[in-house]
Amino acid sequence: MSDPLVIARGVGKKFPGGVHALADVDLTVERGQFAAIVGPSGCGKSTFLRLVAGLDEYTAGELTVDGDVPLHARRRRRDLAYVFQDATLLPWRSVRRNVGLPLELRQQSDEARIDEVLDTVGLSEFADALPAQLSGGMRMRVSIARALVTQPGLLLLDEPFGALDEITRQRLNEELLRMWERDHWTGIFITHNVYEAAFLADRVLVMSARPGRIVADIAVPFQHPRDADLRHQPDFAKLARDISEQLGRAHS
Amino acid sequence: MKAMCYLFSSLLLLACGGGETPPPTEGGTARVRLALNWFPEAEHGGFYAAQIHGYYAARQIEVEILGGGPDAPVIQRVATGAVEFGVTNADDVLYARAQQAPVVALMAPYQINPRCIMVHASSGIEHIEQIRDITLAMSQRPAFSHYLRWKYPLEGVNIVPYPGNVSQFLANPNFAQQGYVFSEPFVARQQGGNPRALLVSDIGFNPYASVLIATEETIGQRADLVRAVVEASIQGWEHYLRDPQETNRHINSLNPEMGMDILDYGAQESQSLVLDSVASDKGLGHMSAARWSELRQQMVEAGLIEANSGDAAEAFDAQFLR
Amino acid sequence: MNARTLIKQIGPPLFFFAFFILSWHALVELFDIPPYLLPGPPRVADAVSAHAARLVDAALLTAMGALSGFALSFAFGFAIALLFSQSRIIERGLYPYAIFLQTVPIVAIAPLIVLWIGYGLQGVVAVSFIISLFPIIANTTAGLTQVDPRLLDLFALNNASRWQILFKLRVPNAVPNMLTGARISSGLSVIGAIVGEFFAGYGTDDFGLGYLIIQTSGQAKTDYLFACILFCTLLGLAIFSTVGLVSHLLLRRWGGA
Repeated sequence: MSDPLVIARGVGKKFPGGVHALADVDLTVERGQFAAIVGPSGCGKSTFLRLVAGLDEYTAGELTVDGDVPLHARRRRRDLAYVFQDATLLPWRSVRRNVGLPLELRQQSDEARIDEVLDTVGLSEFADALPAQLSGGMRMRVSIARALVTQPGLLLLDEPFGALDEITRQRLNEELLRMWERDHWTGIFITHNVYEAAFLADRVLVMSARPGRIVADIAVPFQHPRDADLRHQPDFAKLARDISEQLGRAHS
Repeated sequence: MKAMCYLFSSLLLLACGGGETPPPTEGGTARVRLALNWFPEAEHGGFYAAQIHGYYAARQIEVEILGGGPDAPVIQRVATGAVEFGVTNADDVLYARAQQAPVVALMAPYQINPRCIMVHASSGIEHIEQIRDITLAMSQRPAFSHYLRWKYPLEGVNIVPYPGNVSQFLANPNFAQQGYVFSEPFVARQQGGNPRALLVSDIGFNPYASVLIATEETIGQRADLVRAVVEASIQGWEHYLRDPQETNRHINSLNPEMGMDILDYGAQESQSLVLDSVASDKGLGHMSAARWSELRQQMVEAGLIEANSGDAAEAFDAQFLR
Repeated sequence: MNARTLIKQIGPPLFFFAFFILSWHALVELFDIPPYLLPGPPRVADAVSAHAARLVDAALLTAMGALSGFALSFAFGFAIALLFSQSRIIERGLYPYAIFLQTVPIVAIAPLIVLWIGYGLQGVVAVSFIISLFPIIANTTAGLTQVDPRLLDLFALNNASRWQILFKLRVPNAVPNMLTGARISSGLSVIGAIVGEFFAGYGTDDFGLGYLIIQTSGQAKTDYLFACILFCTLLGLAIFSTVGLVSHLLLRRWGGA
């Protein structure tokens, strides 16, 4: 079906200080699709994600979410979730109360749902722990659980696993993939890591160096459900190489 | 806290040599310092007169008079040797001696203590024992306020700290406060009030005032200097009471808060307080053992000093008086 | 807390306290310092026992003034900080006046405060309140406004209202800062109460430590004066430690990132 959730046409962002973060970004993300954006550091990927979330305003072009300006769409649909690079938990709240925050802010309560997502990320035992008592990987899982607790329609993730070690990162990738395969939210995932992008996404968009624009849009042919074995397949390595090549050109 | 600061600075002074050698003499002129117990006012007139009319100089003494203020630590400065002479009141001397501070009174200009309680004439109070049902502002530092509270019931009286000015008095008809008989009532009258001054000495509590003090050591080792300063001070007081104009101009230049009018009034009123019948008979600055004994007795009775805290006779030394 | 931890906590201060007392005693004896200048520990101890009842009564009265002033400063300081956090204009406009509270010498304005508010406990509480106010305002405002921008993003993403952001994010974020302010103010409130008592007094028969300090220093009763100072110190310590303890218990939840 061609009723994309996110449509960007010639989107640009220039900051008041003069930094020209994005120029002429064209992309669409279909509903229920999992898209990854890779690009060099500082190219504007995070900026773009913030525009989609309605946290900042674009200064050129047109960006719509569900046919609306992103901020209005967010307020109307109320099903946007965002996972930051750091877990961004409230340090004075327990895991349970952190996960429940989005519900609380919508003046809802649903203990059963909180239990469910905690179980999904495997942290049921730590429901009453404080963030300070958890490892980095565990905190990121709480952040993901929090993102999922409202059953989002659009999930934006900004290099969520960047600070973790490879093993934990791979494990969390698999978990995230399972969640998507079950719930089919629309996802935009930002990363440096081409393997991660290839493993998770249906499409990998390559962004150029600043000012960022989309220079490649690579379809990921692998079927769902995917598992850890996928990483060892030759096609996977080839795809990763292709993406890297595009990325290398984007660096220039 | 101020008291702590004074104590520590005194300690420092002591450590640096409290019993220091006297300041250098210049070709036979001795230089000494005299510390006052308040801002320069009429009650110090005689000492300033002695200074500016050359009575000290005539005896080869150069006296530097150091003005004080609230909480002026005269006793400590004299006792530690930071200054050679000081001016204070007789009750403070007894307090100090009770704490083993070796200070001694040498001459007492005010035979009648100028301390008064100032009430509104409209209050109908004519004697201190009649004071009741008003707000009374008194400092708890000097002895008289405690003596007053010990001696009289003061029913319904709300005692509050001494404000240092007369604005509360003027604003509130149910207010009374301590003062000096030639000072606060004058100011209150100037600003439209109608005060009545009740002398504290009328109730029998009458410590000598503006007393000149020095340490036992100074008296013992520099008796000639002490004699000279005492005699010159007496002459200064006699001159001041006769002819205060020039001295008052000098005091006014040091303490602009005190206008010439109030200084002249102070000098004028001081005549009867300094040159009473005793002083006329026995000499200005006279001190009697009986008065010192009586004061000590009163302070012991009122619980202000311990009974065993030294002999009244040791608190003063009249050898330099006539 | 077992015995060993207790000893570790209390040991060092006790040790230094004993060292201090012994040095003081030695100093007085060695230099033969007269009591009107610096009384030795034994004389001060005598003064304490001789006037124990009055010292305790005075300390309790001063404590009442200090705690009332502290409580008022905490309540008002918090309210003012809330106001500052919600309006940049108000913050910029009024903050200099808050700084004035910090810089003005309290002994200069205390007589004025007593004139306006009145003698007795109310005057004392007013002075204590004024002197304790600024640290609460400054620290709480900082805590309310210095929030991790990503947390603010998180709340924005969930379409949080201004009140939700204030009470679910800013206020909890400010708790460690508020407790820092409270610790500072607790000590200041005691000083304020004592200075207040210098000017506000109490009445015919009630007096606090401030009154006793004036009286004993005027009478050159330095041993009694030191006893008063000792009680002031103990009072300050008691209040400061209590706030510190409360702070410690609360911050266990806020500790760590």
